[in-house]
Parts: sequence; structure tokens; C-alpha cells
Amino acid sequence: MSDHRRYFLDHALLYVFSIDIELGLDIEEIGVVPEGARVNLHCVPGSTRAYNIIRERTAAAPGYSAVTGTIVWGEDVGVVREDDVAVPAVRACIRTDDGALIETTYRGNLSLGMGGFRAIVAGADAVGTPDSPVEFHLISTPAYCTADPRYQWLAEYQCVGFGRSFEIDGLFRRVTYDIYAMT
Amino acid sequence: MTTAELCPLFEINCTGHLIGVGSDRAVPGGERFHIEYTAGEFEPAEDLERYFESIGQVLPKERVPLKGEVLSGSDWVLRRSDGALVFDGRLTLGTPQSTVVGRDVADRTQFEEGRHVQARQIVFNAVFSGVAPWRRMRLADGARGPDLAKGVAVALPLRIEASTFAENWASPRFRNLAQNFRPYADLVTVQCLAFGLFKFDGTQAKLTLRACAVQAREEVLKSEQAPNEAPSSPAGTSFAEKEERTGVKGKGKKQTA
Repeated sequence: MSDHRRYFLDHALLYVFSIDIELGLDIEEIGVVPEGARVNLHCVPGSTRAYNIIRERTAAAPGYSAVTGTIVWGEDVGVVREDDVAVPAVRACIRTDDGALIETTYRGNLSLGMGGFRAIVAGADAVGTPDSPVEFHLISTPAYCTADPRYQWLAEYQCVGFGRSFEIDGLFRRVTYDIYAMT
Repeated sequence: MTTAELCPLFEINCTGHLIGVGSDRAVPGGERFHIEYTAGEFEPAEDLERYFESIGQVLPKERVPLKGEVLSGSDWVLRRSDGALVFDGRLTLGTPQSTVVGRDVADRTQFEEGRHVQARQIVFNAVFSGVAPWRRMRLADGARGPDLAKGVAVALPLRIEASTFAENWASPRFRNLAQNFRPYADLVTVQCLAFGLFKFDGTQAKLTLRACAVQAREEVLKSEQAPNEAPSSPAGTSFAEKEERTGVKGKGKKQTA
């Protein structure tokens, strides 16, 4: 007879900020490597925005400054695996509107659906238009680090991003996330 | 006994800049410098041919020495509070003919047919990470360590990431990428080492690296050999010693394997 725990541990998601990322056309295709198809993507600085959807000035409690700003630099050196799952490997720097620099690194999981890998490698993925991009669900697990005391609280949490990735003409061009801290 | 030998591959020279100038850089454990490399080139190591000669082989014809430009790159350098620099970087290198997919994407027809990856184009990642001493701690004579602006010597593990195989159903661009790198396929399966100089004046960075493949060999010691067995060649020795042993001088007559 097992005497394991019979109740769930407390957990909650705390909304932190949202982010819209524009990916540049300077895509570097490395090709098919043992892990999958490797592609380097870069974000377009300046046109990438971090914002608070409900325009709050603090997140959760006084002293927890809400994050608004732009991504000054970001890259994704992820792979599209043979099992039709894309695994982004991102690192980026956010400059907040009040001058703080926040760095983030994360990996994630994006299901392309059956045949997604083959479509990308075979070049049969030229789907999506600017008016009607193809949408993929994306989950990421960012962690943040900064020297600025106003945003130190962010480093205490493991975050999760619920996002959408948009493909236009077969290229990942835009990603949008809602970032939550897991508490 | 296992010994190791360095096979020179290419030399990388690149320049970059600090991201987010003017920000406080403190992170747990030290200071982080986010560096983006935007320009540079890589050239074949001068003594690559000489190396092949020294081991009694001829540089394969299809293995044209790699030469090209640094397409992009980044390095998140942690200046640790204990006086070490921790590197975590990546450079994307491409041969001159290489066209980064998307830059010339205006012609969609050309893009779809994969013609942007021309016959001789090679694109690959050089991933490096590791630690290098930056400041000696508690020296008895009060001597200081090297100045970052003047340059710090580094020796870092390096890994080459490239495509060496693509299925026949893959698009022409993926097949070309794999086919073009095939003569260098061994580079993605060996551990490489990069050593050189890292300069950083607070806003601008310059990285000079000499990439070498590390070839580990199992050698039979003389004491382990049977009395009538020919002695094995010692490894892990310098080029000069090898020249003396093999009788090949510098860029002299090539020997066949």
C-alpha cells in the first residue's frame, strides 16, 4: 500500500508582461544536423516590444516594477527535430523604458504537427501570407537576470511563456508571448 | 597511452560591440558582457599543408582550405568575481559565395528552388565555450593580470556544427548545404580547440582565434611492445620534432600516405 501524498502542492501563475518579437530575414540555415534542421534566427531590434497588456505599473505587488521596453538584441539558434517539434534556444537582452538591461535565456517547445519537419526540410512549407499567417502554439520557459534592483524580483522566478509563432511564406517571422512567473 | 595532437584548421578574426552600453552589468557571480560580433573573416591556417606533410599525408584535393567571412555571432562573457572570464559564444561562418537565406529573398522563385545556395557555398556554426584566466589572484609580488583592453590569451573548446547529410527528398538548399560540407565532415565529429586573443575595451570587442582539431591517438609504449615489433611513432610532439623524424622540411616535397 503506497503512502504517497494525496494533495497537490500550491502553485500559481503571475502575469509579468507580454512581448511581440519580429524576426529578421537574415535567417542562417545551417542544414540538417543529427539533432534536426538547424536554423539561426535573429530578432529585429527596435521593432520588438515588451509591454504590459493591462497597463499596470507594478506586477503583483508594490516594488515589483512592471516590465515595458524593447528587445535590443536577440537570437534563436534552435532546431526543428525529426519528431516534428521545434526547440527554440533563445538568448536576448531587453532594455526597459527606464533604462534597465534584462537578459534572458530560454528553450521551448513548438509542435509543428505531423510532417512538419519533412515539410521544412523538403522546402514544401511555403505557407502563410502576411494577411493570413500560419499560427503555431509555442511554450517557452524563460529565466531572467539583471543588475537593476528594480527588476531583481524577476530573477527569483522561473517563468513560462505561452505564445504563438507566425509563419509567413514558410519563414518564422513573428512570435508573441504572454510571460508568467510560476510561483 | 593516449596522446593528443592539434590539427590546425583556420584562423578567425572578428570584431563586435557591446549590447546595451551604459547598463549595470552585475549578475550573480560577476559581470556579464553581451557581445555581438558583426564583422570578420576566417582564413585557412598557414601551416595546414605543412601539418599534413608532417604526418606523411597530402592535403586532400577536395578539401579546399576553408576561407570566408563571419556572418554573425555573439558571446555572453561572464567576468567572474574570482578573476576568470567565462565565454559562451557562437559564430556563423560562411564561404564567400554563401548567401544567407532571406537576404536575397526578394526573388521568391529563386528562393524556393534553393538556388541561393550555390555550388560551393558552405555555412557552419563554430560554438565555443570555456574559461580563461583574466586576473591572477593574490600574487605575492603584487603583479596584476592582463588588461582586457590589451588582450587576454584564451584557449577554448570549440565545436563545429554543420550539415553533412541530407535525405534525397530534402530541398536543394538543404542538399547543397550537406554536400558542400561533406569534405570536412570529420570536423563535426571531433573536439576542436580554439586559442587566441580576446580584446575588450568596454564597448568594442575583438576576437582572434586559431581553430584546431584535437586528434586523440592510442599509442603503444615501447615497454609494451614485443621485442621484434617495430616501434610506434611518438605523438603529441612538435612540428620540428616531426620534421626531424620524417625528414620532411617545411613546405618541401609532399609525401603520400
